[in-house]
Amino acid sequence: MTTYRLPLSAGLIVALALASGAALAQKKGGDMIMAQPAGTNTLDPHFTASAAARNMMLGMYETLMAIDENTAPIPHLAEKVSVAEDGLTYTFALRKGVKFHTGKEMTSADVKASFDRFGQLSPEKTTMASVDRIDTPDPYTVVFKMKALDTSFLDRLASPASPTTIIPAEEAVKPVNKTNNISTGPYQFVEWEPDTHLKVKRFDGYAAAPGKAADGLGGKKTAYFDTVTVRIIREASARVAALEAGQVQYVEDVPVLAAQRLAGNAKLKVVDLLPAAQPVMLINSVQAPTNNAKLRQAMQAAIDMKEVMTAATDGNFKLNHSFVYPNNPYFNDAGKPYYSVNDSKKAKQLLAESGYKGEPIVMLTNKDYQYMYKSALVMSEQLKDLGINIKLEVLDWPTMADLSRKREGWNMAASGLAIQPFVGPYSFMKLFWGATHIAFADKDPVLEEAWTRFNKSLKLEDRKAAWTQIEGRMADQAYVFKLGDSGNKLAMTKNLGGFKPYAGAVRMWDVWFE
Amino acid sequence: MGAFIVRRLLVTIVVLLLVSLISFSIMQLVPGDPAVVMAGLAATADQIQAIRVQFGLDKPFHVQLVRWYAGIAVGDMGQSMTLGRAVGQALIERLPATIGLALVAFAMTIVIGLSAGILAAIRQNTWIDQLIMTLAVVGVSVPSFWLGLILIIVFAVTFDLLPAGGYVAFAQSPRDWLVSLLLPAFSLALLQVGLLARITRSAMVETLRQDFIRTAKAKGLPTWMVICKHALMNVMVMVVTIIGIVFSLMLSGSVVIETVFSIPGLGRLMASAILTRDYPLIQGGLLLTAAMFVLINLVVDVLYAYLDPRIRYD
Repeated sequence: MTTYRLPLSAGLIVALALASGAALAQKKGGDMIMAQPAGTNTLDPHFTASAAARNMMLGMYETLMAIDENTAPIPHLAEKVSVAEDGLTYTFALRKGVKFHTGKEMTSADVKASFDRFGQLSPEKTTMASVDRIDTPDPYTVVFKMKALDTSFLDRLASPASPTTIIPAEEAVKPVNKTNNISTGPYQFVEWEPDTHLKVKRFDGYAAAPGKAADGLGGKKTAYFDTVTVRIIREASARVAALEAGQVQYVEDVPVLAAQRLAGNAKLKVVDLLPAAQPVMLINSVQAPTNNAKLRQAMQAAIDMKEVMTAATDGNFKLNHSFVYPNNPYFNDAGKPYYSVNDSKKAKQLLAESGYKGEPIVMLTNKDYQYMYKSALVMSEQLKDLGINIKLEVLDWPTMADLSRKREGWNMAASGLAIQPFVGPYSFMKLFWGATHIAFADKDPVLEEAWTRFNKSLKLEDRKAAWTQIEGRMADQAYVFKLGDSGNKLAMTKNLGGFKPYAGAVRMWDVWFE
Repeated sequence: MGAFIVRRLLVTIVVLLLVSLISFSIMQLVPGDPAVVMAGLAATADQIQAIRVQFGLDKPFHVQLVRWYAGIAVGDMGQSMTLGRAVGQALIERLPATIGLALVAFAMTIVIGLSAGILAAIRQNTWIDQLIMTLAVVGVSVPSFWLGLILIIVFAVTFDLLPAGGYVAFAQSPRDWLVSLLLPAFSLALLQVGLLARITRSAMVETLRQDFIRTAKAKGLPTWMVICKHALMNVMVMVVTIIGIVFSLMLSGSVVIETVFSIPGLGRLMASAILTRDYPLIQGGLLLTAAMFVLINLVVDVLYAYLDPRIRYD
């Protein structure tokens, strides 16, 4: 049996002693206002799936498991979780005295009801597909009995992509978008206008997890601000101006040129979040002529990713061949030989072998996301040099998103991944396997076998080997062109203490005004 | 006049029916699926279908159209797919900010545009005239989007005199409401100020050459009375036509300005509705905007009759 535990009291005493000195500098109070470019359509605790939503809700909503600073799953509302040897039973011991924002104590009934709701309506409800039943032998114990082995189960429970938020049982019976925004987080809901702002306030009844400090999205979290407001300011220059004028204290997605200027402002500081996301070029593997693997490989061999990424991100990037970030335990070099090859001789040879006759290749992009537009622009020119007849179509994002889900009408589409490369391989299952494969390679036997092995292997080494094979296959078949890792410039007032950039979400706990 | 207004209102209903039909059809023809936008890139087909069913998007065109008209007949424009509330409610909540912005911008346009135009006409062919007309050309040429950002940098960032964006409701604080609208309203107004100043000037120059002005001067009336009472009233007929257009342009210009200044108004709401393909919200918003345009034109027509006794509609 494997047991994951929260740090216990001995460590806590030491930690408190160590922390007491530092705590003098940290004081409660202040109204924090941050600005981000996009809002969210929903604050439903089980129906959200965007980066913008994560920033807005992760101060309020909490989960049984959370990811730590390096995205490994750690118990959060649970004190510990024990996994049976056969991997078919997960037993969670809940922390006692954890209160919802209503003041009611969280029990196993709330946890079960929350997972039942999650399994019905979450975009990530497949998390519950391998769960046979949930038992609640007592108010502080929750037992998941599995139908089949799912070695990513704890990762999924901890994933912030579409969190398995614990809400009161009486809320969990409500349909989508009808729940009150209640959970157990350090901040509680005040008001929300979908396209203008969200306001939360400190929850004084918050029961922090034991431990030294906040860790990733878990650990011992402390809310210092009286209130936090997330404002939606779409226009980048307006966001920067609001920060310079002192109307907001933190902004995201600062253009590189503006960030250079802000760095010279004595009242402000600029922090780099790199890597923050992965721009990609999707390839349609069922539509002619890109249904020809040799042609896809020829194009792949011709591309200089440094040039593409420089244009797409104004230089704010790192080259990376893998679909996970270098600090992830699953990082590997399987895709390296295929990445940014920039070898015109090899590309021309592959192109000759492919029998390509100059048929048009439709490349979709949009101007709503500038990095998609710029990357497509540069890549299309590189491919034209190879002799590819690229037809660049600039659409708006909704049109493009709709079209790129269809099996016809396009060959290449600029896109991007945000949470998947951060949390790791299991989150790629939907994109690189089966009916929802983003290149429509839904019957690839190599991927099929490797994913099955990934899901059934209990040893990390075996899972790593399976994922390495998946990345190798994705690159060898040129289903998706991975462009690189892009950064996000964050700017804030200098008196914002304790802030650490994190690709999972902006964390407004353990941050304070100095 | 009463019969005219009733007749116009009846025509308005027909116009709005046509507008709603066109807007409904266009939205169905434009590519882009709101369910896909909401569900995101990694969504499965059944998740997208679930969203389509939830909002009735899986129904055939004619069923959706009949539902839409049946709803409108009882004042229900449907549920917004992104805001989680009734479209009518969302529009009513956002209307005050846009109307407020348009009114302040309108007041600026009238005061600055009219007086500049009149001044230029009285001082025709002097350096004052040339200066005003040069500024008017600049005003017409500067994109409001760019102007808004420059004003923010100058007045909010550099001199810290006005807020960089955001909106304060009138009920909360009339003073802060006005302060929050000064920069966006000016950005919105400048283009129209230039337009109005040029039109007013040429109309005024034309009027000042008329015999009745010469007569007024000859009988010894003071200049201000000649200008304000006799000349201006004649200029107003032409100006009112422009003012109707100006107010309409302000409503459409608010889409850009509200986005730059983060004002939660109708324009910003429509911009984000289009980007997320929130069909009910786009349709409701277009209907409301069309209704406002028709109403403004009606008011302009009524004003004609008031300003020029020769115009009678009955």
